[in-house]
Amino acid sequence: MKKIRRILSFILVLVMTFVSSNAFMAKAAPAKGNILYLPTISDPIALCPFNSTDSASSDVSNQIYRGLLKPDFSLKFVPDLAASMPTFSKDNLKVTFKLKTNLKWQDGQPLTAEDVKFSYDFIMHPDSAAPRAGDVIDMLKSVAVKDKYTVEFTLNKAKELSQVLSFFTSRYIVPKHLWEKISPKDNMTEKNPYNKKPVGCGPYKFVEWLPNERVVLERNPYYEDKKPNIEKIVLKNVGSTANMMIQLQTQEGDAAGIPPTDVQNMRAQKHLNIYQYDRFSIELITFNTKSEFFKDKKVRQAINYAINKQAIINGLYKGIGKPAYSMYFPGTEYANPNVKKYDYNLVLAKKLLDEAGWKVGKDGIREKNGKKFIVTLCTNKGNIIREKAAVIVQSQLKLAGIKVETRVVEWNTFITKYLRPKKFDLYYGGWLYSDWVQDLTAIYHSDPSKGNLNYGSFANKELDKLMEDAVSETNPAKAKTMHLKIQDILADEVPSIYLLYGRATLGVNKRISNIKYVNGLGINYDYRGWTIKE
Amino acid sequence: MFKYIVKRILQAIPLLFIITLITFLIINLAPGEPIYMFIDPESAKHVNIEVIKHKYGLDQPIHIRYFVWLKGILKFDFGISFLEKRPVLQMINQRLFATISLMLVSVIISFLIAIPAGIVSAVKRNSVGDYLFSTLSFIGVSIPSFWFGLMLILLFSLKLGWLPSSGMRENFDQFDFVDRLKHIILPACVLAFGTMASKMRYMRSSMLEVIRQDYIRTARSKGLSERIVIWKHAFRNALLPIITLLGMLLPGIFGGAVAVETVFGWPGMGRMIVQSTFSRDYPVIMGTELFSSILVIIGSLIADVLYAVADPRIKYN
Repeated sequence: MKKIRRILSFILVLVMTFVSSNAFMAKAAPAKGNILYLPTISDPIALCPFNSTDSASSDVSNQIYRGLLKPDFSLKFVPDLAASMPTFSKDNLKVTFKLKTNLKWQDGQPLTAEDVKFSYDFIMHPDSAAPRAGDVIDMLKSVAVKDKYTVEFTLNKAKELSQVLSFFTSRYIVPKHLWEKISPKDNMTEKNPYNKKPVGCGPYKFVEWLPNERVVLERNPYYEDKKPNIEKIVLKNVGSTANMMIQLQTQEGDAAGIPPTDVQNMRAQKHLNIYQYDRFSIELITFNTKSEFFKDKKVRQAINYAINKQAIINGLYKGIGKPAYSMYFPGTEYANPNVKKYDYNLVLAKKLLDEAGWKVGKDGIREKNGKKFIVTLCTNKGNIIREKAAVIVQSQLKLAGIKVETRVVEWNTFITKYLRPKKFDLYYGGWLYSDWVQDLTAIYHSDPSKGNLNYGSFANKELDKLMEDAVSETNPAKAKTMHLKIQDILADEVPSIYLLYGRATLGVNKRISNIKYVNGLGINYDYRGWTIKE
Repeated sequence: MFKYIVKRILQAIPLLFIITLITFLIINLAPGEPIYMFIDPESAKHVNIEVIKHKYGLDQPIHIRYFVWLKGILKFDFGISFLEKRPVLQMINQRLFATISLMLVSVIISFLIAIPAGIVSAVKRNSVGDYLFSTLSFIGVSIPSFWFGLMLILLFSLKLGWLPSSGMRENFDQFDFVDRLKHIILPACVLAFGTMASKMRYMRSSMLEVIRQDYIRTARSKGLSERIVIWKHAFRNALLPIITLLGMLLPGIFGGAVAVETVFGWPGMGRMIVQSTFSRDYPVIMGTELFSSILVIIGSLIADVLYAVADPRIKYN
């Protein structure tokens, strides 16, 4: 026994000296150097903007690739790869871009009109099966190279100006001299190395990607515009939001989005600056208008009145967010400031339900022709705020005599088993947009081939026509009238209840300054101005 | 012995076949489709989905898909991840080191503590030490590892600032032992604390059984010192059940610890398995499943062989 004791005490001493040695006593190293450390939750899927749809991928690839245009902090579209704004033919079907003449790929090769044509042709190739191809195929008929720096796009159909400009902000230009070796049918396979090791033309270039560990980017020496101040960006996959918050606090991470529940705690951290801005995002509850409960628009209106949006914002979002009245973001070009607003009004809600024939039964639940008003509200699992909001909606509608059963389903199952087969009465969801240009055709058009996201089967012929016309109307004043009318119809018909516009909170370590942001776009993926104090 | 091993391996083949068949059926019965993980249903038109489904063979009936997969396995081709577009074997390989190193360190820590603790509680039964170890082990089993992990992070990373909160390394240029050690210590301790309890209880009960045997009484009556009786005569025999435990640890080492890997942002297998399950990444699920089944079989085989080595009474024919 003595020997064992001796050995044990020896090990103990060894551990103690090791633990107390300098290497261990040093505080968890705060991020340092001219490197931006960004903690993230998940790995990207493909580092190519037209081959991925997840935000982890676009967070990286948006630093590497560029589009012809880009949305700017002034909330206007400005040239990026283009030298100037495009010119349009008389019939608005042809769009011509002049490229900057000093553009280079990260490997030093020049970027020309050939690359632009090649990229769009590649996306539209039927074999490439690029997840983002749908939008491009809808918009473009063909692309032609006019000269080394001039490229001409032919559209399928004339479109309203902002729709066209927004389309060309997609960062879809890839280097022809590398990609032409890839057969389009190999695009989405492991035979396309550029989904993993991209070569682009953005402010940063790709260095390495270690799965589940980190992605490293480095200042691109060939970037012709004002070069970024920060030399390297390290996106570190820490696996969870809780870990991201810890990384901000230990100063291992420099900047991260903060969920509403953590904002107060993060404000108390002396080493952090907190920035808040509106996002082009909206949370909404959509009715299945085919459901026997929601065929009647009076019932939909009643429920809109019965839901206390401000209470949800105050309770769950800690006051961060604004009640929403329309799919168009307030203050943007086509937003309708006079749209009908459904502020909380339980008395009116009850009156409307009575009028629709839903009378309160003995148990407090409304009924009509012997049918109880019991509906299901679905949402996807994983978004904790949505899960809680579903419960709040449930209790709010109970006051109006409606029983809601909430169903929180894992995302993939939610889409395939509930949303697409339309097996729901109400669903709680949200949209996040990359800019302020709205086209609601996909969401509310009654023709399934156009309204591929019209999960609520909403049908209104007048709206169908207006939505189609509005996006192809090249006269801005006329387009505006149509967009305003669209919003009036949506407010009257209530295919969805608009709950709130999103507002984001960003925490950034004080060693970093010059954080530029704007309501709507946030930091706009633009780290070029950010400066690290050493 | 050799004959026995060959026989066991041959028996394993139909077993593996059945395991993969059942797994394949179950994951395909689960609701949801892989397609919606790499195609945003919001932006893709229906036409695209059909093209992509065809590309991955997802438009084929389930039995055809199973045989296609099986054919690949026979050629040692585990297929390519739907989501990551990397070969599954390469993905496993990339994460294997992280998982194995974490598991080995945690196993070592847990054995280093559990075996002596188990012996002490058995020998000094109903003493303060016995109760203390038992209580601790029950606490260890009961505490959810993700919570315990977060608490350790709060203490050691946030309050004291001694250890990093997440990841496997900071020094990416070379293998830096101290750096690795700093990162591995918290997750390994959390894992060890959770599994220590069962090992300790195993050790305690098997030790208790052994010291009641006649030969221990004989050894004591010969006048041998208690140290020799316990460590020389009882210990080796009491270790037998622990050896089985060792064999069964192998698949666990491979599978990783999902919760702990997530809490500590550890780039291991566990996170990959969870991710692939949620994204219906069938090739990855099947690949990891097959791999861990093989390891369970090898593990139990090793345990049986070790049995024979440790206990001369056991013979295989």
